[in-house]
Amino acid sequence: MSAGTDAKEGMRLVYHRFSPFHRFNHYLVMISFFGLVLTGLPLKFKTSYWSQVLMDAFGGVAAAGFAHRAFAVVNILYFILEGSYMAYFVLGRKGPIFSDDSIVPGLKDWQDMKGMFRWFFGKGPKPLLNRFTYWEKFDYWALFAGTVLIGGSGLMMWFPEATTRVLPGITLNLALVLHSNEAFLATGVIFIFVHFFSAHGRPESFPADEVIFSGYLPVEHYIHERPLEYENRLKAGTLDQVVRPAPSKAKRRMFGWVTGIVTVFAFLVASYTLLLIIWPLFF
Amino acid sequence: MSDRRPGSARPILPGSHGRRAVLGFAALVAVTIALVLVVVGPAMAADQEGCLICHSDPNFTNPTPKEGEPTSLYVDPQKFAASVHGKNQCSSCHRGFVNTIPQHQTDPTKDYKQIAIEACESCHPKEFAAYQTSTHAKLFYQDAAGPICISCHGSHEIRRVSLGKETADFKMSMARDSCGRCHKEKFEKASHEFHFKALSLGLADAATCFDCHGFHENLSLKSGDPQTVKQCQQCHPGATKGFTYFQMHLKAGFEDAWWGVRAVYLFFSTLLIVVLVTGIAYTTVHLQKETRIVLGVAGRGFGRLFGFIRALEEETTQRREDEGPGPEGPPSEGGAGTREHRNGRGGDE
Repeated sequence: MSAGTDAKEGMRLVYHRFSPFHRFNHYLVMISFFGLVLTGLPLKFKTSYWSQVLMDAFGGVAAAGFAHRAFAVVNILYFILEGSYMAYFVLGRKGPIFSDDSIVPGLKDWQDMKGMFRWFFGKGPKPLLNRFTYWEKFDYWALFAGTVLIGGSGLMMWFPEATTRVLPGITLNLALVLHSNEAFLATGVIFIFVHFFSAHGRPESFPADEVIFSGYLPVEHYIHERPLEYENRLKAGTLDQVVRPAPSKAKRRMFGWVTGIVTVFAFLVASYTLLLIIWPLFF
Repeated sequence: MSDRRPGSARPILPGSHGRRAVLGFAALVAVTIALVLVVVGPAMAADQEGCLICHSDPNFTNPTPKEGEPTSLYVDPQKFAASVHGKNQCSSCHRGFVNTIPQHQTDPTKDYKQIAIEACESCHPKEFAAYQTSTHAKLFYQDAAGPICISCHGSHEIRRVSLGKETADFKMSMARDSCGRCHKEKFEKASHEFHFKALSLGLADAATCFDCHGFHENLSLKSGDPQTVKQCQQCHPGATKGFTYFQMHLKAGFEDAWWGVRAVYLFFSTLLIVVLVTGIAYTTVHLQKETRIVLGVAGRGFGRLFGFIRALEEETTQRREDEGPGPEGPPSEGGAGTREHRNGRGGDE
């Protein structure tokens, strides 16, 4: 009924999925992640020809080291921002923590996952997905845990004297191993498989999902992507909280450009990373 | 001007080809001399004693070897000239040699190593004193097998060392060719360590062997030693005793590290493989499914990439639609039938 009308309206109605705060945080994550990967991985893969190329492009190892620390500061910044938001959400009782709407994993995610696997192999219908799908939750919490581990070990190595005044020196060895391996894992997860493909590479959003840059998506995409949230909101009558008229054409075009530029850059960084890793295997 | 002009304008010899020919010949001579000077000059300049007359011959060997193969006595004049001692006389290091042919040591009982270190000491007493305290020196004085100055610095090709101003390449090659030649395992282990990685990528400030172990003292640095703390403090002023327990020389797989480090390494290596393999598999299946739904047309676009999965799936779906919820489909029945038929035939025969 209402769904049909919305779909016909097309871009005249949009679903607001991300607040400016969360979009801003995603920009920070993106900038710091690209920067950290570009300045950090060449040290890990120093035998690769491309490491030297990138290091020289940065103006030497010392400059790259400085840049790495600068991007680490951005990383810490978004971590503090997101942490504060979490504290505000939980302590200020802004909403239920364990609900269908929440980013916290629950039983529904396990059922969704099983449902999706059945659907993949043609053994059942596609489960109705909610506001945050299980793979999005995985992405989010993996990044959260990764930031704690990589950030913590990185800070230890940034201030080795202070660290070893409190902890034994072998901690630095641990931090080094942890930092290097976890960073490589995160790079693989974000660039190669989970994030770039499941969030941006899906056919609805290929080559990049504009929603994280603009905050909204066409309402018919919303209904296709998040049928359960849509249904629940329809029942509860809260659809008008998230569905609004589309922004002006100029604004839409601007977000299109932003998405395009970011996509090209992300593609280049990802290709470069792959090249860096794969090169030493053959040459 | 006025004095020279009439003289130079006149032919020098009557009946000769004149001024131009003389000038041409002079130019030819000058160019030849210049060429000789440029090519051989630097090498010969130092060779006022004439040693290089014979020793610059690559085939020049000891004419009276004590035992076995004759040893080469060749000195590359170009390399020697380019070395930091390129302007020194041969005899400034080769003491006790007399310039006769065939020349010999004045005291043939003296070991060449002994002569060498004495020569080095006479100009570099400070460095030599530092060497005297080292394990290298101890080994040398024990049985003359230990390394001396020239073991690390080389002899005729000694390079200029400007402390604090060396390039990363220079430090790297010194570490590899001097230290790493004997300390192969240590060098191999250290090269996985990030100080070394940074150095090999061009950070000249990054520490290498001699930055920690000293240039001539070759300190053996134990975790927790006050000496070790002092060495670390050269670059890390705030370093304390705990700092020195960081392990610099570990195998790439951390087999020789504390079990905790090894465990973290193994855990993350396993996690990496598990996550990436699962990730590839999952993403492939997920994407092909969603892609097919969206494109909606069989055999077009991305769907084709995963054609084999799609074909399987379509077969299943179609079978279900045709046959309803029955567990046995026609293909399996047919297959079973054929097999039975064949079996039956076989039985008849």
